[in-house]
Amino acid sequence: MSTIHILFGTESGNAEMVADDIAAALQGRGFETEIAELSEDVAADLADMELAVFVTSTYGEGDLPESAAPFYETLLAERPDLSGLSFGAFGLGDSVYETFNNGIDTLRGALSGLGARQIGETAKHDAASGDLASNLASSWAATLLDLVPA
Amino acid sequence: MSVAPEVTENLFPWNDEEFQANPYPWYERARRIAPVHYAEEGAFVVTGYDEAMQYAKLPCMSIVDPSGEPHPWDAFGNTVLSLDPPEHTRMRRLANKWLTPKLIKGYVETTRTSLNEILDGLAPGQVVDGHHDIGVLPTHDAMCRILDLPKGDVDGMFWALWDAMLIHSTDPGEGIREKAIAGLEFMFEQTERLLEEKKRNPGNGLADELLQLYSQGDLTWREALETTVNLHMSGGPNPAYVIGRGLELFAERPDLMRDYRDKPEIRSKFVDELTRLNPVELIITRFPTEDIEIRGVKIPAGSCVKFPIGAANRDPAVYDNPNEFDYTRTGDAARNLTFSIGTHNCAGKALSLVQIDAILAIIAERYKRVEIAGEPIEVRTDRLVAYETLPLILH
Repeated sequence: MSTIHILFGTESGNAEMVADDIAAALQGRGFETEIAELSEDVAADLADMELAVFVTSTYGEGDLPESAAPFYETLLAERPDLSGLSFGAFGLGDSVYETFNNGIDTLRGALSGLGARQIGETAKHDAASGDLASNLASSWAATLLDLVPA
Repeated sequence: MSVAPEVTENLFPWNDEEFQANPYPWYERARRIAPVHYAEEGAFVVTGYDEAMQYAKLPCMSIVDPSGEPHPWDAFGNTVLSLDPPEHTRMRRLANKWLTPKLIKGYVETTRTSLNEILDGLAPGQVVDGHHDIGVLPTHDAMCRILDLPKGDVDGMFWALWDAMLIHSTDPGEGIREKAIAGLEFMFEQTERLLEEKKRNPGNGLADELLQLYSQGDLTWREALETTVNLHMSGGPNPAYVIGRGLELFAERPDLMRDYRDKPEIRSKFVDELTRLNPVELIITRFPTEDIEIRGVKIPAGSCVKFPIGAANRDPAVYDNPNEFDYTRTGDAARNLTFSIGTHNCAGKALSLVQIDAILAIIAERYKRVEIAGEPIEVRTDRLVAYETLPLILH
């Protein structure tokens, strides 16, 4: 069974918490996980990954947060072949903003454009909902497991 | 000019003592007859929830007064208080990574330890100050842990900040400028002295990181110092007011104190509702960098726009029975503007909320009843509120 890489981009630490929650849910079902903050180095390693979950918030005017932006720019510049990668996508946002969850949509688009295959629904947590991101992370991770390629 | 252009009276008597003691009747009237109102001091005052949520966070809403006139708070000219993106982003991120939810779980242990030590030292029936002893001291300790600074002169810093903030009143009177400058100078002297000591005896806090970035040339001295002062002064006062109001609520409503103790699942919403009714900083002030229009009122670029937080927080269009405490509110009514919104929202919001919860939980779990043992006295301007004294007995 491949390791599931859980890769997060964060501004205030909430996406990091969600990454931990997703890892816990997956480990509870017997998967090995590795958590890392998105970076240029992670972008370089991506072509060798088979399974990943991307977690990111949205910052400012629909932009990616601090740690995700260099990762994204490296993807666009280097254009690695990601046809061997299957990924899940979890976004954190606030529907009071028109750019609600632009961050995860931006990442999904870039990854898919490089050949990666998204599995499952894109989770989009809404801070305005009052529901805890942790709860959504755990329940969403459970649904993802049934879809992970053997 | 306003949504009701015939309204030319002064809807906001900022310096009137009755207004400062309870601005809500004035906010309510203004929201009803002129929800976007050009006040005689030359500011547009916006009192509706929807307008505040939509417009206060727009990228064009600058925190920088374009008049360029020297102001005592230029002392913080290199911090998030005085910058817009992208310069703001660089400075904000310095604090963000020290205030993540994961790290806050550790810091709040300092808050709990500090409070429990204070409570352990109380004799039965002893009068304790709910604001100072239960609110300010433990939260200041937590901030000092984050920065890795010694406790220092807690009361001196508290009242120096109060004095410094007086200049932010809409219409500060005579002598206020000098008082504010003295407050700022005190806070800067205290903090700079602690930073100089830290250079000789480094630690592992945020203040150390700022000093390290300064020594590497990644921050100027003013950036490092001003950011440290901003955090050092902010740890106690803001959560302490909400904690004091929570303790008064426990005294007035023992049923709510029991709910807090017996139903941990309601605590998050309880604290949110407490912050809705009891903002500490009372006005969000912004300066649009382009012409905007709010509810038909044209606001030119460079204007001063004020969003009184308490007005948005009690908008009857959103909140049923807005003046009543109800922790079961949902949807838009479960949100409020107490920590502001957008780029300049409070960097300490998560830290404050966790601490307020932790402190109220300890009180609710350790005690059966809160008694108000003397008249609570608040100090207020149109811009800020704090307690002078909140005498309580914990039974």
